[in-house]
Amino acid sequence: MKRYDSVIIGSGINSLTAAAMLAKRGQKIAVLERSSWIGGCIRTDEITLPGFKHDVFSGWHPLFVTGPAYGELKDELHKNGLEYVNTDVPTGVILPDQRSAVLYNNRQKNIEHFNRLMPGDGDRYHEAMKYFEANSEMIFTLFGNEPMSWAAIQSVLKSLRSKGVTEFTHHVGSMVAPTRKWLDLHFQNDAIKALIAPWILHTGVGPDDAAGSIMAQLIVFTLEAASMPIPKGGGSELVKAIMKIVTDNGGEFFTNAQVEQILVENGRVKGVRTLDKSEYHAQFVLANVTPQQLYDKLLTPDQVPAQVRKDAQNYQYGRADMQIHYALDRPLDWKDEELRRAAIIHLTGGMNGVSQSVTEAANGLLPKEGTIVLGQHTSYDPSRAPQGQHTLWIQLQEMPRKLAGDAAGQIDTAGGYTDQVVRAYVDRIEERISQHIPHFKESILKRVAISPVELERFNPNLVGGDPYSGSSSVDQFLFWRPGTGYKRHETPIKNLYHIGASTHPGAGLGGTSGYLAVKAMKG
Amino acid sequence: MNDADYIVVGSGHNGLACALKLAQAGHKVLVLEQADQAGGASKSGEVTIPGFTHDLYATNIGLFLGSQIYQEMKTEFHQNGFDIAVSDQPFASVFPDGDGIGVYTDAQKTIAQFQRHSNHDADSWKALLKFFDETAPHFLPLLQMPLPSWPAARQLYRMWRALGYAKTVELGSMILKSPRQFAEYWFENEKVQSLFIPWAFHLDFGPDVSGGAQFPFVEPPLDHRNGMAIAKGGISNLIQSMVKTLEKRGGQVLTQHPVEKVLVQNNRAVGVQLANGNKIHARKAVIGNITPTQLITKLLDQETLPSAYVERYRKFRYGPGTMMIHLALDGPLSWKAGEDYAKFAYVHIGPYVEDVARTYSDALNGELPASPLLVVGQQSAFDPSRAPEGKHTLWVQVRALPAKPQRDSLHEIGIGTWDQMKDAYADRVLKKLEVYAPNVTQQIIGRTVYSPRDLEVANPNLVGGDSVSGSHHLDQNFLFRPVPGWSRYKTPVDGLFLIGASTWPGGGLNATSGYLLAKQLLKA
Repeated sequence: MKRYDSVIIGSGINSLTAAAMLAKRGQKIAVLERSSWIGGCIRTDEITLPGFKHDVFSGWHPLFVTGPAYGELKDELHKNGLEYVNTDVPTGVILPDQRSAVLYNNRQKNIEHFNRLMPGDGDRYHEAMKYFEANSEMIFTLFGNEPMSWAAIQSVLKSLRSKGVTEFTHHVGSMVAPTRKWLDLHFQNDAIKALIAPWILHTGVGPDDAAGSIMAQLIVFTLEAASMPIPKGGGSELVKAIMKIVTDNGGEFFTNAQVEQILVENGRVKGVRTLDKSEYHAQFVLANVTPQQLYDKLLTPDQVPAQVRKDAQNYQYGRADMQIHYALDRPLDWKDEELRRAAIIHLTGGMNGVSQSVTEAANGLLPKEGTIVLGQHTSYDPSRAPQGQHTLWIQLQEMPRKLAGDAAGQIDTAGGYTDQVVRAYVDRIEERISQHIPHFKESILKRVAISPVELERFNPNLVGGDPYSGSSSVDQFLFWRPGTGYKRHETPIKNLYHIGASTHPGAGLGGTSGYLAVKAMKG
Repeated sequence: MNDADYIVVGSGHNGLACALKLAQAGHKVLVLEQADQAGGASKSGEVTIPGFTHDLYATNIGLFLGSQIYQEMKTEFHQNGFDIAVSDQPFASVFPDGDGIGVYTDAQKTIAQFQRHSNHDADSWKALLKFFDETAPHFLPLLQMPLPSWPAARQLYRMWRALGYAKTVELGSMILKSPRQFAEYWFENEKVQSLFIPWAFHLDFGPDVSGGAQFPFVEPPLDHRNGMAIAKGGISNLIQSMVKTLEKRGGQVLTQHPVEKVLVQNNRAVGVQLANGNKIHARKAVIGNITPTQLITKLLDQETLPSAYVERYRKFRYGPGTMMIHLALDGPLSWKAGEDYAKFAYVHIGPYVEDVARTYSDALNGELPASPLLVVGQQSAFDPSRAPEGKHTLWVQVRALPAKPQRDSLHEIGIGTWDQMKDAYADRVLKKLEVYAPNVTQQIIGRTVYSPRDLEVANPNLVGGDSVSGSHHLDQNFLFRPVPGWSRYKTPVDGLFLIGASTWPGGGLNATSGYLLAKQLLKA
């Protein structure tokens, strides 16, 4: 038996954030990770060829860099060797008919670019962003705090007071509108709509979902303001820098250490026991897991009130994700040169295309022309590949969690996500990329695809391959994430905290739930 | 020049409810209707063959029977010709394999239907009814209160006190779910799930739109308890009973009196100008039972309105369109699912959640859906007065169609105006229906098709054929309807008010907006 102040189950960004903050407070920390690496969805690995460093899962750090956890830790992180690099083109889009558009990290350039594509669209963009900025305090407060906290309630009341009821309801009403409505009202040019529409996929919802409007505005605003920072050398550099804060303060990390039971005594957490029957005792335990794992597996039924168990069982998951990694012998030679500097490019049929693929995925089908998210890390961090060569990070966000068929009617999916199905689907993706990058296939040195099923195998928090550990639609957001019984990351067990993407404020490489849990901990 | 205390523009049931309430208080009320018959979207007529009475658009009067105006005036309505026919088999869904599932008013029969598909789901149905019974007394009254308002705030507070934090928040989460999430939350069998999905579609919620669970949560338990009600002999009998009751109180309804302008002096509505140039003075107020779109594009000069207001009204968004197919049948349909299915008031044909999702996405993307959602109404099965003996009417509502199709998802129908496409599309609908009711074609002795465009021409409130006058998605619902900040029937013009399906609580024969506004006006 070992004794700590806090034990943290899982080693994703929220665990790491909490570990670093608690270690700085002088706590002795143990982080227990069932996998062979620390970092959860942050993992840099040479999974294609030596010398090619791929961010295997998540790959982009704007949420972290603009979040409260980074604010608290950044000095030490940088002292520990973390270095962020950035680009001036956070995102771009290419449509099937070869039209393209980009977003810069510069308001004036965006206004001019949009106005060139369609006179007036740039001006309306400026108006919309000004409006967002003027009203953003409440949003940022809600995402950076507990929804049932004084800070959040005060920010709502403040907004209500300063605007009056009419303006306030208008403001809230426009926030809960779907992305489609916001885009249709502000932009006439299809390429600009297509530039923004697929970003809503990165929040786990679709263009016709409620509250997409505010998420789309938040994303565009953040992209323009922070662009797309990534750690030089790979996402794992952030993990290393955080780990050093913890170990410098006496904390320990254990890999291949799977927790099988949270130990509870008289309604208060006592520690955890791992599969190999080792016990780690602690005053606090933070669990970075899904509600089902926490309440159905790690605790025994008698420790969990019926309502909480029911909430956990009813917690719903969203669409799945698939990743494809390439080692390329040359950069992607986009015709639109601005795209060559872009961090993330969406190859998409625009708003209607996204809407259609989202519906196909919800119906269990492999999309006919799903959105392809192309990440070009090496375009601004050449240290991640041998000289002149490149990595390509592809994410497919519109994958069915339960595979029932192929919208194009070509791939036989009867056996689920088999190697054959994955290969056939990747071929479909490569065909479409080749429409825009004629020599794409020749430039491939190696490819590795990770199916939804493999995603979950790598990380059981990604149930069915859902990269966001739970559907992010409004019924599972804010007060409702993950359930209705407990607020402020607390649980029915005293000193046991629930963190991670399944908890408020949801998915994303931000570290905020870990940060909020630490803020709520007393002692 | 004529005059009145209150002028109501539009004779939909909300306009009439408002007029009735104002007339009851002794005011002189004039209702002006552009069409040749009162009722708005509540209208019946012999549109196929004489002797066959069809409800042209709306038919289900369940909400109306729960309304306050009905509670207050039912004796008079019934004296003036309104009667109710109730089906004890409110709704069902059918599937291509010849299977089906239906909800009866009989508890045991209904549970047996669920059990046939899944024991788990039969238990879930009971649990859903229990959850509904616990929560409905607290939230259903909200649907008849102005938003935002003190009574509504008090109601919410009482709900919080009675149900506690967890259950209140759980209820909130339930209502915010998408229809698919809602169906999957409760039920495991795909046919059982499909039974709930179409109810959301009645209010423009595809299976994956958040907030769409509200109707699938509320309507099935209510129908199960109350049955499905329609107006005996046609819904115009309800409207006529309201008109007669109004006339007895000194009010007047003038049909074929299209209003061209609302007359405004010093930012106050003082009357209306008719298409023929006549002006009618309103001493107290003008009430539009119309969409916000008509108000800003036609009835008022935009220059006289604050631009922020016009801007918000311009953003009011309509849902996909509806097609109505009315059939006169030589005899009942023989449903593959069984003889009993000819007795259900509504039979929904999606068939599955996936089909409905695809149809909705097609409609939003401007495509004619390959396999539209059908709501098949069999009114004459429980109201024989609607057709000659042994014969039947059939009411087929086709949801959801694009107002202006750009493509046909099957590449079969050439894109043109709705007039050019509607018969080909109706053929596609009947071909679909035939899979489930194979004798439909041979039974048809009369057919009339209304395209989304026809709906709008007959009733300009149904913009693009949207049968509920504006999408009910969260940003346009509750206190955001029709636009945030203007949910309490006022407009920037003094003495000018807006009621009807575009305003809270939205579409459906709920008779609430007109009633609430009248009460507000009488209190002032």
